[in-house]
Amino acid sequence: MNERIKTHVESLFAGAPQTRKVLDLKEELLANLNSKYDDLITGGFTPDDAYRTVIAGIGDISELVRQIQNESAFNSHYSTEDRKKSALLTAIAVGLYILSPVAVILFDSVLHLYNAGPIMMFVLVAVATGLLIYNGMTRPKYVKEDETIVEEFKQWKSDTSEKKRLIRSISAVLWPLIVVLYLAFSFYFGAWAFSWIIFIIGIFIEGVIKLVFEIKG
Amino acid sequence: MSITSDLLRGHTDTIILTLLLHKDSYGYEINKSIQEKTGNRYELKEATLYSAFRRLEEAGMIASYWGDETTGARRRYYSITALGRQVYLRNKVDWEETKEIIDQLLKEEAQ
Repeated sequence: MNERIKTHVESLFAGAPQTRKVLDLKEELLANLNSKYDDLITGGFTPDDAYRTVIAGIGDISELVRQIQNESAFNSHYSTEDRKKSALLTAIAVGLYILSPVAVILFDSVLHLYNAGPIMMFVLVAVATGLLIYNGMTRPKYVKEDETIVEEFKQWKSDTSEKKRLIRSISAVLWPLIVVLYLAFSFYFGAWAFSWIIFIIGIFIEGVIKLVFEIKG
Repeated sequence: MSITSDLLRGHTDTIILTLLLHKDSYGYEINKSIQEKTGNRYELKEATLYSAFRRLEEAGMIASYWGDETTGARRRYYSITALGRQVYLRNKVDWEETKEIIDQLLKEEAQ
C-alpha cells in the first residue's frame, strides 16, 4: 500500500458522503492503483515517476463521485441490500434471545449437566448482543455535502435518529437480558421470592442511560 | 492520439464486455489487457473505466463481486451476464457494418 497514492485518493473523495458505494469505489480504485504502481516499479520506474504516472492515469473522477452522491438521496442512504442484511441480523439476534432459556432447560432437565445450561445461555445472549451492536454500528451516517440549511437539517436528522436508534438498540438488548438474568438467577439459586427486584433495577438502568444521552446531546 | 481517443471512447462499453467474455476480471487487469492488445497505444483513464463499470452494472450487462485475496487489498471483480453477451454480439455486428460503410465512404475514387 503506497501512502502517497492513498493520500491522493482520499483528497479526491474529500467532501463526498461516506456511503457504502463511495467507500467501495474508493477501495476498488486504491487496490487497482496500487497494483499498477507495483507493476511500474517492477518495470523499472522510479517511485516518483511511478507515482506521477499512476495519478495522471486517474483522469477526472469528480463526475463519477457526483453521480454516486446523487444516488444517495435523502432517506435511501443505505441500500435495500444493507436493509435486508440489517433485518436478518436483528432476526437472528432476537431468535438467539428466545432460544437462550431453552439451553438451560435442555442441559438441566434432559442432559442433567447443571453448569452447562447457564453457560450456554450466556454464550447465546452474548452472541445475540454482539450482533445487535454490530448492526447498529455499521449503518452509514449522513454527512452534509455543503454548508446549506438543507444539508444541516439532513445531518441533524441523521444524528438525531441515530441517537434514537442507539437508545432503542440498547433497550432492545437490555430487556431480554434482564428477563434472562431473572430466569437464570431464580432457577439457579431458587430465589423467586426476591429476584423480581431485577426488573426495578432494569427500569433504573434504562432511565440512567437515557439521561446520559440527553446530557451528552 | 486525441482524435483516436474520441472515436474509441464511444466503444468503451463494448471493449470491456469483450474482455470479460472468457473470464472475470478487475479494473487494473482489464486496463492492462487493453494496453497489451493495442501495443501500448491505448489505455483508459480510471475515471472512464469505473464510469463504464457502473453504467454496465446498472444496465445488467455485468455483475460485480469482491474477491477473497489472501494477501493485500480486496479486489472487485466483474463478470459478464447473459444480457451482456447479447449486447456484445449486437455491438460487434453494428461495428462491422459501420466499419464497412466508413471504409466505402472514405475510399478515394479512382479518376
